Amino acid sequence: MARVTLLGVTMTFDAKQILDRLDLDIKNGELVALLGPSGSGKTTLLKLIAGLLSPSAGQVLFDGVDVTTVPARKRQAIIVFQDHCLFPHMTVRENIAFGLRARSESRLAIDKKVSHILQVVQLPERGGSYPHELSGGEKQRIALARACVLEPRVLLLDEPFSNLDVNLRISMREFVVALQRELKLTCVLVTHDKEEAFAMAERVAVLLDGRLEQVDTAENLYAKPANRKVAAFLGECNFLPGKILAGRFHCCLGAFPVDLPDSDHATGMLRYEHLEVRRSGDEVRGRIVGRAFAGRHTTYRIELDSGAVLTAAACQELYSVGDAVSVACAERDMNVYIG
Amino acid sequence: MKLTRRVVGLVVWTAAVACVLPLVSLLVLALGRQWPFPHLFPRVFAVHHIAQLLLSPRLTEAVITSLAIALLTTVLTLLLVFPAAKAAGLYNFKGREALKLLALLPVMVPAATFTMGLHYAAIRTGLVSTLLGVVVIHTVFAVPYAFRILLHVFELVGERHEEQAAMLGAGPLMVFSAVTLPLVMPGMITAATMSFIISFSQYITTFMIGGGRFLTVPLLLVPHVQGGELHVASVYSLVFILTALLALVLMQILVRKFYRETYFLNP
Amino acid sequence: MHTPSKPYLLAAPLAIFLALTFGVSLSIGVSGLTPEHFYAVFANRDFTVSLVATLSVAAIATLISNVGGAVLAFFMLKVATGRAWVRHSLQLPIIMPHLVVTIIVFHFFAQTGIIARLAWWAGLIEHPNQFPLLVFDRLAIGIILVYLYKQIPFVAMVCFDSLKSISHRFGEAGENLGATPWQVAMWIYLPLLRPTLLATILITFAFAFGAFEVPFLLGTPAWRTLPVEAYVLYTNIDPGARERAMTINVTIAAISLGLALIYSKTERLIAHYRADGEGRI
Repeated sequence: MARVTLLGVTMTFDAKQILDRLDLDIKNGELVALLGPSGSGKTTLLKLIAGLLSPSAGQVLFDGVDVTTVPARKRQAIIVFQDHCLFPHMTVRENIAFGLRARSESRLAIDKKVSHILQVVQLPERGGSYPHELSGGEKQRIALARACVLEPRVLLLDEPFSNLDVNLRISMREFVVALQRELKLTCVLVTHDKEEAFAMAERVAVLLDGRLEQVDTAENLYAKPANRKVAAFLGECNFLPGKILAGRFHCCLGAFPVDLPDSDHATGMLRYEHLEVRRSGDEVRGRIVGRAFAGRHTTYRIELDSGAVLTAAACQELYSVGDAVSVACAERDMNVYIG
Repeated sequence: MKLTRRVVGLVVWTAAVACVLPLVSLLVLALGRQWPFPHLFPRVFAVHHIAQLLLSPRLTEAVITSLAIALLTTVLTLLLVFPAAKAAGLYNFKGREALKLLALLPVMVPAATFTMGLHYAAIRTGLVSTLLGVVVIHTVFAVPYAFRILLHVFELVGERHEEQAAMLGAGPLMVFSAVTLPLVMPGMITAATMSFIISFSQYITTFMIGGGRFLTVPLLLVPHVQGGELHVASVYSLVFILTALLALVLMQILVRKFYRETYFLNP
Repeated sequence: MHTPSKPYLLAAPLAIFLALTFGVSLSIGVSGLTPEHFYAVFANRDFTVSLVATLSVAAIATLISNVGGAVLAFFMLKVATGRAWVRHSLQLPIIMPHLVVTIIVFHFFAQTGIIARLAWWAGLIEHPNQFPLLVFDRLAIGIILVYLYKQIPFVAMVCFDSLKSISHRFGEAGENLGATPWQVAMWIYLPLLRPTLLATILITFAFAFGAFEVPFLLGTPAWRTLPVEAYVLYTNIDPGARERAMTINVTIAAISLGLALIYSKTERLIAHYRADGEGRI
């Protein structure tokens, strides 16, 4: 296992900046999720770590040693691809043994390791099958086994569950996290699914348009996004235009204390579930103009008397379109950004 | 790493040049006169005797006959192969594998062997020395290639578009002309090209089944090769290659033009 | 749209056409032949020589053109530059008729051909007679050269297309798992290429085995390939020659059909795995 460090990693394709001066430090044995929408450069970054691509600028370090020029086959950073990429002409055992054969390990050692890893992924009886005979989840587990049997310095997961159906996806998440803990693997998970990232990773790195916007624990990311882009990407939220005057942010919901300099253009961010809705009260008044049922909660569009339209997610009380309501929010839930 | 790349590039480059070189040498051979042994190039380059060769009525006859037979063969091949390839490509039915094997047979059984058997039969059935006989035997050898190509195309295209068209209310004729045909057109052109070339290059089949009545370019060519008249042979060879290429290009242009105007096919 | 009879109706014209031509060709060809004809032909020394020679020529041409073609295809995959003109050049021999290739081989490899002239200029020979006999020769080198010119590019193009359609991600995955480029080629691409190679081996062998024009024009007087032998007998007016010709033809057809059967069996054996999803084989 290794600690993986990226220093100023930049990638340009045809004068287009895919990755822009990325710095990231992944601790030994840590699982970091790389979260971003499609086209944000996630897979490119993964291939850079694996050595399948080389960066236009910057360095990749394993345990503090520069490996930027080490070719992929010697780097021991192994990708588990989204489409698993099992070799169709080899049995499961042959697939898993592939990397060990490339290292010219003895037949006996290979047999032992393959059998062991098949136990670990709980598919000991599947050794003689061909990939097309496996189910989607089994293929994914074999692909994991093929990577893990090499004891990689870092394991790279490229959207590994996006081809699986919902129930299988959740059990595979737990499976992978357990495997990662058991084998103490340094692991980078690339995904566009924030739930997946939050559920699995110790830290989440948000990659938007080739830039690492924020790296933090899931809870911190959600509660305190570094900027509007991250906030918007991580979850549904209201953006409230306003001003900062003498340490207070003024907007349609009132005034909130902030630690920012005065500004005429500031934006408050409030998540849907943090906007409280009540039948009546002294707070800001408005009325319901739209409603959508979403299972665990219901979202309401609320037009305030000031004319602003906000969205709230509430689960207790039911309102109808046209109902007069009042809204409020706690001071700690309001995030304010300049601009 | 750099060195292996160089070597690999050199090998590919050499192979490509080696493929083209013969055509160039054929040109030199056709244009050159008086080319005794140790000379690497002809001492005289001349055009007028080529003109004589080109204007001979036998060559004109051979070119026209070759073209006519090749066109008829192409049409017959496509008529036979199109529905069969569609069946084998889209439907699962008993005998599908047998059909595939049957359509592969003419590649496997040598032309000379097959022709001798058929010649024996053709004499009795009166097919010998007829145009139909020659076209039939050419078609036999064009079938495997056309079938393979169209089979592949149908497997790729599938039946979804036809079903969609039928659901939208198109009759069988409209489904065929507006959906099926345009979709498989690239494959049809390739299959037609192959059939044409195969027919155009036939020697022994035309010679035997044609019974000497049909003078095609290969039949005109062979005696000169046998007689070692490389110069005449090279001129006829060039005519041979150029006619085939020209006919093919023309055919492709016509088909494409027709389809673009009729159905706004995207290129 | 679907009726059970539909595929049969669609397939019928071609099936009937082929069955009829083959049926007639075979049945009339075979009619009148008795086992004695076969004993007589098989006992003939000329026939044995022809058979061995034809098979050897076909085997040598097949071996060289498939190994060469496959290697060339791998190489083409490696060099990204100039691919379009390379592809076009390689297509030229595929459309070039055998007859024309025969002329070219003669032009280059005859004792007064271009190569011999180059040898003279290089001071290697002083007279055309000193140049080795490469056409009309007993070893059939001229014939094999024609096959190679046609078939190496053919195999290369087919393999190249096949290699391109195999997802390059398999190569990436192999490299990622620690395999050298050589191991990736031998362990991943070559096995995935096997069905394609089997087909090209069959096609090239069948052609070299059954070709008529090339050995007819470039062959040695010392022996004839089987199809040429059959043809010469067929056009011979001696009594019994035609039966001998047909006996040889039946033998050729039997060998060819045997090959076709072996092919279809082997194809199924090799393709015990199936392409699925992103595999694309």
